Amino acid sequence: MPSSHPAQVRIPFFSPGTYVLIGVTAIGFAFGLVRFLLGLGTVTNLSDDYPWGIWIAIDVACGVALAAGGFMTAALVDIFGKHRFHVLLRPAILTAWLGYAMVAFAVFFDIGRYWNIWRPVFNWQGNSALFEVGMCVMAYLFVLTIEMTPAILDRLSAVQGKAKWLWAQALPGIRIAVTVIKVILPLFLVAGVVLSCMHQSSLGTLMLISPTKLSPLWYTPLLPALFLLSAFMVGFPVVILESILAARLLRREPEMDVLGDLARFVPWTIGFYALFRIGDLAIRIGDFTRLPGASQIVSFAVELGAGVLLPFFLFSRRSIRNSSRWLLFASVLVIGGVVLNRINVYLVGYTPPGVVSRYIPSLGELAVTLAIFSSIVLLYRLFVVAFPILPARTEDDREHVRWREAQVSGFRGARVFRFAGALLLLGFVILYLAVHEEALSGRIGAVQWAKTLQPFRGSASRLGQLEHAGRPEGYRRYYILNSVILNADEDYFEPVRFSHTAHDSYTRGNCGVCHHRFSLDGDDRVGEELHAFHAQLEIVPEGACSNCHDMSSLYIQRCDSCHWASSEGPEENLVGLKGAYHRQCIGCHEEGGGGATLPTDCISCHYPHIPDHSLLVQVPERPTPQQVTANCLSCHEHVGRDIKRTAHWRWYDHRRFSETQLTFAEVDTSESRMLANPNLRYCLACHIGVPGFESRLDFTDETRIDCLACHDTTGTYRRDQAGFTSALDLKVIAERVGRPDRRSCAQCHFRSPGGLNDKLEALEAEFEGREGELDVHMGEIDMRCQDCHRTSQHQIAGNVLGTQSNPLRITCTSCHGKSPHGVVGFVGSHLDEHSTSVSCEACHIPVGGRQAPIRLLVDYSKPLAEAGSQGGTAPIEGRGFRAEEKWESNVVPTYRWDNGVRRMRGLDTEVDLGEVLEMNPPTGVYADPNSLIRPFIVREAVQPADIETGRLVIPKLEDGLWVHRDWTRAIQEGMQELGLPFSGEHTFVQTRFYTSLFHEVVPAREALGCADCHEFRAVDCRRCHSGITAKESQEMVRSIYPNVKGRMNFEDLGYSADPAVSNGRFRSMPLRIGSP
Amino acid sequence: MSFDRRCFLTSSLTVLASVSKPQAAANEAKSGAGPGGVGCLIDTTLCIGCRQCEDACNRRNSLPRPVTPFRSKEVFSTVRRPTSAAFTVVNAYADPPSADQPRRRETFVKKQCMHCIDPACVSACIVGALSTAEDGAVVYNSDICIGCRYCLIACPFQIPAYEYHEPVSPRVRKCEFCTDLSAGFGANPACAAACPTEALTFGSRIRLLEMAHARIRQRPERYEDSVYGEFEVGGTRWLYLFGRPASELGLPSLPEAAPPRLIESIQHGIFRYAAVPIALYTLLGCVMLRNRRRRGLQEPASDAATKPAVHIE
Repeated sequence: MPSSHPAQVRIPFFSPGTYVLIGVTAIGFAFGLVRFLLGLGTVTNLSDDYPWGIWIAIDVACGVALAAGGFMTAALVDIFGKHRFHVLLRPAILTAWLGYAMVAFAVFFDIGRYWNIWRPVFNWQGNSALFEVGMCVMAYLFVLTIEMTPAILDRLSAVQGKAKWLWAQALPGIRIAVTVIKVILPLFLVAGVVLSCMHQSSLGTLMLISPTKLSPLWYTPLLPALFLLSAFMVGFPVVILESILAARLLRREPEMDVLGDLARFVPWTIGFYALFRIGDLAIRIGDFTRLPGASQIVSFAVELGAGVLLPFFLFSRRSIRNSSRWLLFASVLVIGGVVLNRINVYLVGYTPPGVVSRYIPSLGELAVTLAIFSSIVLLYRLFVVAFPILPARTEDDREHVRWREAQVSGFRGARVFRFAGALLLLGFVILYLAVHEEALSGRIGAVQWAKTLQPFRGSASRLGQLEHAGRPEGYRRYYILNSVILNADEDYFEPVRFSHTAHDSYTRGNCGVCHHRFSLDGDDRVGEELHAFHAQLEIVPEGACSNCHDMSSLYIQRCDSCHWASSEGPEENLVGLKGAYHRQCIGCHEEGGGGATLPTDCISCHYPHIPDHSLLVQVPERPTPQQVTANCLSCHEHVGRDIKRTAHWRWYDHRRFSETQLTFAEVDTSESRMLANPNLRYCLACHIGVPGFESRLDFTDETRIDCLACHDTTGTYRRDQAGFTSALDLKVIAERVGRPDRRSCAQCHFRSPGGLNDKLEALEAEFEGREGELDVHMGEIDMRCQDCHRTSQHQIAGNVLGTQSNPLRITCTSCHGKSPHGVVGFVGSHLDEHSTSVSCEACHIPVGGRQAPIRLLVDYSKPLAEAGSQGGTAPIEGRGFRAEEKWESNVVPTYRWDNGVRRMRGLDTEVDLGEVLEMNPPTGVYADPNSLIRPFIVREAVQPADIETGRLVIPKLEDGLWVHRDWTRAIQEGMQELGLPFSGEHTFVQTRFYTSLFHEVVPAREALGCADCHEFRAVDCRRCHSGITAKESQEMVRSIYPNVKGRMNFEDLGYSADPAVSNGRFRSMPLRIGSP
Repeated sequence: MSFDRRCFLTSSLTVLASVSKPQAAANEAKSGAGPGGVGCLIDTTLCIGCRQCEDACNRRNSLPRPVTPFRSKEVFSTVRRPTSAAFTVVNAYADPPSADQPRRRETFVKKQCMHCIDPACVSACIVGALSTAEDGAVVYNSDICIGCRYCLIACPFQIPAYEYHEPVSPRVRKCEFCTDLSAGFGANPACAAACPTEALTFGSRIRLLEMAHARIRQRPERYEDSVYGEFEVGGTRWLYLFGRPASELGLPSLPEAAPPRLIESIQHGIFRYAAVPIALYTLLGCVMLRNRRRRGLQEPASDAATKPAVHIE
């Protein structure tokens, strides 16, 4: 038996194994450093679903469990007086102390706000099991340090060497310290055991907080007890393992006699634990509500089989207990079992609901964990080399003698120090009591701050009497749904523009679909439920209200007369105004009215409010357009990509909707302006490249997009023909960007290089403002362009050069429905019947160019000497060539069958030089059910063509024709630039270009009357309705534009005669003509 | 020997006294507002999945704007959970919200902190960084948080999220009922204000419960006959009305007992008045003293006499 007093181990600290461990530690802490620099997410695989990983499960939970050897041995030796195990005490305490120190250290890696680690000392939260653990571990670390002090003081009091004199001076102090420690140590020994029991069990309590997440294999209210029992179980095996391993590594003999003795306790502790563990499972297994997963069952089986049952049998056998190898093996099993148990409880068994992913520790986590454990081994080696820990092997037991000299007998201060120690413990107890009482009282100091929060006093209030008393004077066709109630809450959208009439037509005049209650008395807010009220009267309401009621006498309430703020008012469940609107809308929109797909997303009805960009735009002083765009794109990342797909950017996207494929170089021989490649500057008047774009055509560079062209709200931004006014401060403009309005679109679309209405369609300057009644949408109800030209990802629905630019079709029916005339008396159904063959525009746009004249002809073969206006608006500045032109207002359209597809002619089309060339004729035909009669403005031109190839040619205008006025030379220059052949001789051909009419929609009262197209006798009401007088009939079917003769030529369209007389395209008239 | 027995007796008595007492005390709800206070009712049969609540939440809490715009429905292809950048998310589940809405294709379920009446996270928090405000909102104080993420473990709804990529001062992020800490104002949720269909109703929890049951009574064919959150884990302040069983809609089936109750009764049951530790200390102290005496080591008797006397008041 070796001598029982401890001594330093006389071996060098450094060895090959040490270097390996230092390497492992260094690698691990390098990962640790990364964690401190870049955050947990970079190094670990932790997630919101798996917030704890192996740093908690192994470094902390296992670390604490495996340090149980310390208190177990201390209890065994010092409390239960088994002094023959004394040799094991110091190494066990050292292991525990290092274990706890490293647990505390490891916590720094795992917790996010490590600099707040001291908080629990002051911010008590006595309800928290984690607080319990944290405080106990802290206190126990203190106790362990006290328990470790004798070893360190021993060493200090025996220091030899150069500083011997100094130590000699310090020796009395050290001796006193040794004495004091010795005096108070018993107090703390017991406290250490108690603290250990507390936090070992509290570590189990931790996971009781998530009963629904922890697998039932491990979740049990007994978990704290099981944790404590398993700590008891693992304590001695850890001591055994540590002792045998240390002996092997330090080349000593293991203390087998003592260890074998110690191992006798182990079957008892294991047995006790197993009894509880298995008993608990047996009781609970019937109540399992969730089935554990396969991996959990395997892990559980290994834990219980290899970690508990097998070592139980091994430890029970004396022969095994006395063999160092078998003992080592059995101890490893127990330790492995407990480690697996902790991993199971914290990781494997932790299965949050609805989470499919699993947690797998990352390389960094493993490295740090390895580093923690290797640093424990390193420190252990360091301590046993530097301090008297392990039992001495020499006969030299001076240190121990010295220690014994410092016995406490006769020490006068013993009582005082003992009392102080007891007071310290008492203080801890009182603190502990206070924490628990505080937690139980529900007035935890740490959370008192939250109590100072005042309950929110909502500012929403009901409307003033005046505001909701205002009943509608009469029926309003159009509402902008805006209200203080709606704006009171989170309000990210502009008011909805609500077409009352359109929605009326959807419900076919049934007001009750939305106005579901009505009151007979103006003061009655709640009123009667419409259907219930009718049911009382035994009436089944069907169809339009006006079928039975005189609507002018009916009293229909406004929505906001009942619906105010949410849950406000006499009825708790009464829906607020916002909810009322949305619920009424969304139900129908989701169901879809009459087969149409109605929008259900927010931005189909609302425009979002645009945030104040002065806070967001960051450009240098006087930025270039490209700098502005780059800044826009820095936030609106995907917009560049979107823009590149649009017609505003691409110059060649008409192919899908026309028969001919065109490229940008070929496209615009269309009407007469000849603005193709050789004259790029004029293309850029509309296409949104930044200035200078024409000199470097680059359709991939997003920063060359000119955002301000559309998004300027100041009205100062100008794209003059092809450039910018460089005097503008783009920063000011960029800071005020917003949603384009009519003015923005007007910049290009109302005013093209040729002047007002020189662009393809009749869009007049008046539309920029709101004055005038030129167009019912833009004038009367002030709609924005994009109300109809629905825009999604910068794809703007509409036509380019008469063909659709993208698949987002806009039609009248998308708002007005398929039976828009249905509720205006019985004429309505006759009008609705037209929609199978006649477009809405045909009747509702009776003339084009109602204010500004439209250029109907330009004859380039007849140049004028003087450049200047000929009745149109001012031409492009600096344009040096002007041909003979013809401008007219109030142009009666030409009507053609249209199916939406045009036959586009470009530079590759061979021209019959003697005939009129149709540039973009609509391809609809009489027999095609998808073709409708649509109004067109036909614009004629006489423009140059190559005599030899019979194709249109493009002259160079700027620096060309306008300067030298030589057609041949200009054509040669132009065609050369395009890379197309030119024979050298040209002639002039007559061309015809079709512009469909969409704007200048007149109100219903000004739309075409029946007799504007049809013979009166064909549409005479008396043909069928016998009760109508001739006068009434004449009034009803009268002509609105009697001065226009022969507006509709039915024969040209393919009818044999007036369809009202003969037959429609696909159905015959039910009644014989002329029967009044 | 007689001395040991006395020690043992005193300690066991203390244990008995402490274990018998605490249950009642522990069951008192420790949240400030109790079952009263504020609440929010989600009627999933009214939700149209417009994600305006997400947008409002994002703005109110100044969270980073997501790459996918809020109007995009692409996000519904996966089931999402609240993150540190989105305190509330709406998930879509196939099939209509209720049997009487056959034309609807999906049920939308908003997910956010449930603001439990007896919150596990508040009970779990080591420093009290999470706490229940006077009106019942569960609020967070990053100043004292140590970042241990025990609240993430504790939450039965998988709500709190953590800023894993923040190296120095990561925060636990979750819905705080739009409590404005700097202004000192309590719950005032932006999502409820933004909801276009008023599928979210904010108000007193008690009245919301009445309202919810009234709706179920009025339209029994539309709603499941239970309000999710009324009893789950001791009751939550966010309440759900469903037209389909909640288990089909991604909400966990939870017991009625609040998780903190068991853990706190263990904590305060065993450790109240430090009874068990003191008893254990006394017991072990007596054992040690006896063994020391047996070994004949010189130990003044006062050692044993003072200790128990000091600790047992």
